[in-house]
Amino acid sequence: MIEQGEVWTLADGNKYVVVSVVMVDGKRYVYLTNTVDYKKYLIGEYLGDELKKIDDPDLLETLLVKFNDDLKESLPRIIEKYMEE
Amino acid sequence: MTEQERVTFLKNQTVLKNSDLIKVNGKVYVKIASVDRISETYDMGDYPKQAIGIPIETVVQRMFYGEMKKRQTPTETKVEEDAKIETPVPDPVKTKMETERESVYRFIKEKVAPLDDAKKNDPIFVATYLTVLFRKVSQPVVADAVKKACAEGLLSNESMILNYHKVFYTYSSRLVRKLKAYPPEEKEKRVSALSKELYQAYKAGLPFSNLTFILKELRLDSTVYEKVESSFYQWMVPDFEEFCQHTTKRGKLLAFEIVHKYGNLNLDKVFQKLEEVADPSLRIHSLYAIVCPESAKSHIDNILMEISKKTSTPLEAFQQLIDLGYGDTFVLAEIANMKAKGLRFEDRELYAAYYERFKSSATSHMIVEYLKKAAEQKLSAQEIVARLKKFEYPDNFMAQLLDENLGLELPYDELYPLLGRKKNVIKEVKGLLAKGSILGSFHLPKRKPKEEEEEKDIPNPEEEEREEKVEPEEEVVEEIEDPTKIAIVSREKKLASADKKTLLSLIIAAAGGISTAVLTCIFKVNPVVAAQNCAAAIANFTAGNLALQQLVPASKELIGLLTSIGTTFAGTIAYLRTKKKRDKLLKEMEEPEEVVEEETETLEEPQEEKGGRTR
Repeated sequence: MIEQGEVWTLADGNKYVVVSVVMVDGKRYVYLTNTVDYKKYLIGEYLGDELKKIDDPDLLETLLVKFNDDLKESLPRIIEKYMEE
Repeated sequence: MTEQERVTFLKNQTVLKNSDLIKVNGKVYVKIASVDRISETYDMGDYPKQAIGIPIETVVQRMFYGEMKKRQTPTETKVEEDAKIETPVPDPVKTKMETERESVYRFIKEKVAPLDDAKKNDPIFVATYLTVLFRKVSQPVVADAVKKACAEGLLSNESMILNYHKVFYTYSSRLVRKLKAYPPEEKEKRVSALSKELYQAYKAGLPFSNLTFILKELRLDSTVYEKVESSFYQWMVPDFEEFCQHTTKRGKLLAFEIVHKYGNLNLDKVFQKLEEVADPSLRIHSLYAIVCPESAKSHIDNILMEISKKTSTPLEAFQQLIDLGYGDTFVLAEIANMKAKGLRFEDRELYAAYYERFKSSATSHMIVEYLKKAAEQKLSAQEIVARLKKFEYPDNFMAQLLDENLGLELPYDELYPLLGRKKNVIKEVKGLLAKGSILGSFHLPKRKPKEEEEEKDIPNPEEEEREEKVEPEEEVVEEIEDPTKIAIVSREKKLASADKKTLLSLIIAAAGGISTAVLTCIFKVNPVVAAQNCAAAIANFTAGNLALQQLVPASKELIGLLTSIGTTFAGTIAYLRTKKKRDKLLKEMEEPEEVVEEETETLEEPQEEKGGRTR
């Protein structure tokens, strides 16, 4: 179970926050943003212990739309949570 | 009223009544303050109206602490009403004061003086003790007893004890009065107010043991009591958070600090809250095990039993305990107890599980650090094993740790036998694997980033030779590795609240960025470029030390926009507009302006309506 907001340390030594998780064709994809350098992001397939980066433009487009839908749904909740913190 | 009648009346008196007040030269006085001061009268000042219905004892306390002034010479003034006020004090009352003073003094002599120096020289401790036990005895009476005890050398710090006692006593009395003033039927509704009062009293320095008595005096029913207590701990959360954020101490020292700071609170609840707010790295539960071993044991038992009933694996049980941050050896010992109680974990499963658990534990890192130091200091195998045994880990586990740290200058050949292992299994398997004698079914430990350094450090010439032989095969393995894959080293689920806010704002920013990317995809921009735009947009959002932090709390309208318009892009534009970054974003988008304008037009109305609130 991957939760939005988890912080992952990857083998590159950097920490990333899980922004969104979506399922496409039975596979789980994650959108990660580096916690320090926000220009660094990773879109990848979650393989348990590893993350497979996605470069395929078609899949990437599908994923971006999916991530957007996921965030569209969860954003008000996140902002409310943020305001409560 | 005869003297006897007056004494009886006073003894039965609980609250101040109108009839207790007298007027002297136009001023209002209370003619009977308590059974202790029957002959005295007090200037009520503006107080009489509020005083009606308040316990006499409380009225007296207020008089002592300045809310009312004691009338200096009441007998010199003409008494307009009730001349009986000057009646001589009956002896039984004085006797009562003396009796109380004597009982306080005796208590100090018999119970406090024999305590160890640390306690009896601690004015807060002594004052708390006296306030709680003699809360029905007036402060001056207690003060007299303290003075006497100090004069006889039974106590020290006289003035500090008196000051603390005065503060505690006054505060407690005021608090009880204030809380009792809530109508009983509203108590439940005012749980939050009650708990806030308690919290403020606590912040003002009133020991929690006093607060507990105060709560008891309110005679709340158990449900309300629990709610008040629980709400009180909610008020304490910022203190816990601050404590967790500012502490750099670890282990027992931190445990000590917690006890020192929160020791007069319910530590079970303190730990429960600390667990909620602390960074997992603080390993609050390992401290919990130090400070409240019995509670921690029962907590662990419950978790294990619960997991056992759900037919989960031991590994899951361990994982949960890891997440809670309990200490390794403590958990192990408890698991042994649980096994004795009939927990269904099999030996093999158990070992496998705790090996997995230990492997990632802070203690195992500590052991590795120790091994490195031992190598530097060139300690003998016996010395190393003697130290390792103190960690109370199974020998086989220690041996496996050695397996994973073969690059150190340690007497491995002597160490393994001392740990019940005849030979270095991993070394042999590596060798066999290099020679192709073992098929790929053997699962080697995962490759870690540090492994390269460890391999470089291998000092043994024999090993170096072997490494040289192994090298070609290892390189082949490297080539086979998929470059698009990146290992996830660790995942943190529970975050300190300070981090949470930053992360939430980052997610919000990323959401804006992604919606920007999606929009650029719609404009047929290559999705790879779109994703890069998205990252750039996130950077915009987060520029200036997460400017979003300033935006979000101030803009409920952003939520309104997001929900009513239904797109994160709307939020994006709203944000960028308010931050004058719209042009920058539009430049980043390489597509026709008109489409963007269409989108932004939809925002005009709410934006203008709410313009006054948007900074």
